[in-house]
Amino acid sequence: MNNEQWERDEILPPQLARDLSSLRDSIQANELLRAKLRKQLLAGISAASDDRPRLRKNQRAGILFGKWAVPVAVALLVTLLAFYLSSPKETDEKSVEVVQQRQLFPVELEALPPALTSDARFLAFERNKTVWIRGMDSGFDQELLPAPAEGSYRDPSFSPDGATVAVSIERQGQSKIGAVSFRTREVRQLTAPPPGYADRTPVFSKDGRYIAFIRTRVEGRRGPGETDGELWIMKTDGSGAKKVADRAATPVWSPDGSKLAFSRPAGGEKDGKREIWSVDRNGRNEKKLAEGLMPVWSPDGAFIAYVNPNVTYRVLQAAADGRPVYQVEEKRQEIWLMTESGEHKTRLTNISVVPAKDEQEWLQEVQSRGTGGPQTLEATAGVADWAPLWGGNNEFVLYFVRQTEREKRFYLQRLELRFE
Amino acid sequence: MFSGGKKRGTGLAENTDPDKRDRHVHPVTSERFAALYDEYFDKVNRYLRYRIGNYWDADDVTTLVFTKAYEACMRGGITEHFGPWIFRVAQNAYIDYLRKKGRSLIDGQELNSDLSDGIWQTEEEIVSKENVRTLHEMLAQLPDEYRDVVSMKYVAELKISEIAVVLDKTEGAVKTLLYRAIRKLRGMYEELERRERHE
Repeated sequence: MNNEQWERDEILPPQLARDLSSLRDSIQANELLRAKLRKQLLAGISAASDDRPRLRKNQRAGILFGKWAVPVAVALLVTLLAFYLSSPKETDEKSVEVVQQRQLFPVELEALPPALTSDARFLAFERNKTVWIRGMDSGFDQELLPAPAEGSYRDPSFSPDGATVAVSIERQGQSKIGAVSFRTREVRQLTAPPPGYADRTPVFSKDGRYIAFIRTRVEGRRGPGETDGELWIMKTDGSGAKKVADRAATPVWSPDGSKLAFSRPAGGEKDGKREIWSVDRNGRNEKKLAEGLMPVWSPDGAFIAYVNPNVTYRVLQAAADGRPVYQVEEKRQEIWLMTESGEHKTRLTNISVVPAKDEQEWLQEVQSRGTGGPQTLEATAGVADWAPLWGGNNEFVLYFVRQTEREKRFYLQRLELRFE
Repeated sequence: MFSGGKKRGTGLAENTDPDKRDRHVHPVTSERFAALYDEYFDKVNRYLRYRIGNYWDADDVTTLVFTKAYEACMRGGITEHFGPWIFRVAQNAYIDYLRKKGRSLIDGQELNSDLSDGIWQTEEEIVSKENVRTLHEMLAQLPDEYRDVVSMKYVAELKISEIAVVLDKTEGAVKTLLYRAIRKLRGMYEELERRERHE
């Protein structure tokens, strides 16, 4: 039988030919992906083909401004060198070591925290009033659902098997918890809060049988990932809902499902300070663990990573005459780790700039010549680390979001940990 | 069930030896890449959606495949045999996917459940979907190499000559594999008919 007969499918029995054709028709290609990826790749080719002339232009610019470019660039790079001074309420006892810290990619998210699948293959986050899914390998974004009319989908949380995304569905001033099938994108409503209340920030338990969420007053303000209210738990079909704690936000489950951790405003409430607490799932044994917010339990249950907003720095600046000055203190948000009982608090990220060799040389030069200023805090002010996320079931990988106020951007970063 | 197996070389992208490199290589242009992309995106995406079953994962792997294609094209131009080449990349990406997942999947496992979604359907559609489901189950019983050629021929709609390059076999060997796969499927259809007659 020649190729032509094969290509015309003449060898196939009629029923098999029909069924194979139906099988092929039942598998539609993703049109949205096709269009978006095409645009992205072709833009890359166009940019690459424009590279050479642009480089030549840059080289010419370099020749013209080379005399000034180096000192200006170095001055900008070393606008600020900050060194950790102290954190009065936290001990710095080491139980974990950061082996590597890597910046992965920018994420255009509009609210924190994002969510990660247990195999760390997909990241879900809020943008344009709906939930987007990013392939962690491909870096490609796809909309989970189009935003509802006059409403939004928020607060994504993956079920442990990755088949369902719990979301809060906001519409006309109301907010309910819903479950979206990751495969069919079918939406199922799970809660119906009483008038005047809104259900938000759903989180799956590690066994996938329960969802914790926060029930707030409708007028409740949405802060950076914080919506204080009552902490509730329910079964994943929406039944058996019961209240566990008050004044809570961003709840997370312990891996064995026996406890929840959450953040709540510290006593005064007005100064914006927050604390991390844990509570048994039956509402007993509330316990304060640390000052901080956005807790996440490690997959083995031994640790809780969180945002410590009270890290104090002594900042090194170059003064107008070039002298280095250590004088400004400010507070930053960084990712810390503690045991699940709230002990051995350890810093994991460090947002201060570690002086590189050329920066140290520049500093020495500034000191010897007495020139180089004035400098400001602007270059690194406003950098903050938020939303730690364990790398799915991997207790040695922790992701977090770094916010740079100057660029107005969020970057996903990855930490590799080694426990001692 | 896919058994993992050895990754096949992807030719141009990984071959840095100029003597062994494909000689029919052309500089990449937006128009040329766009034409090849338009010709092969649906085939690759459908093929991966069928093999992987989970559409989100399949779309993610498709993105990786075309990103690799783009990078390879930027490095070395576009080979004349782009079709077979991109399917080799797709096959290797599929094997990597299975290794990362740490488990093997039955082709179309989740696709099957898609077919049972409770929406209103005509009788003809119900019968057609039932037939597709049955075919899925039959295909899942075929040996790997039979399923490889059947999915490339009838899902991705590759030509015999293209499948031969992808699988590094002669066209005769591909036809033999296809013939045996179809004979086996025909046997399963006959067996099913016999059973239905008895019921």
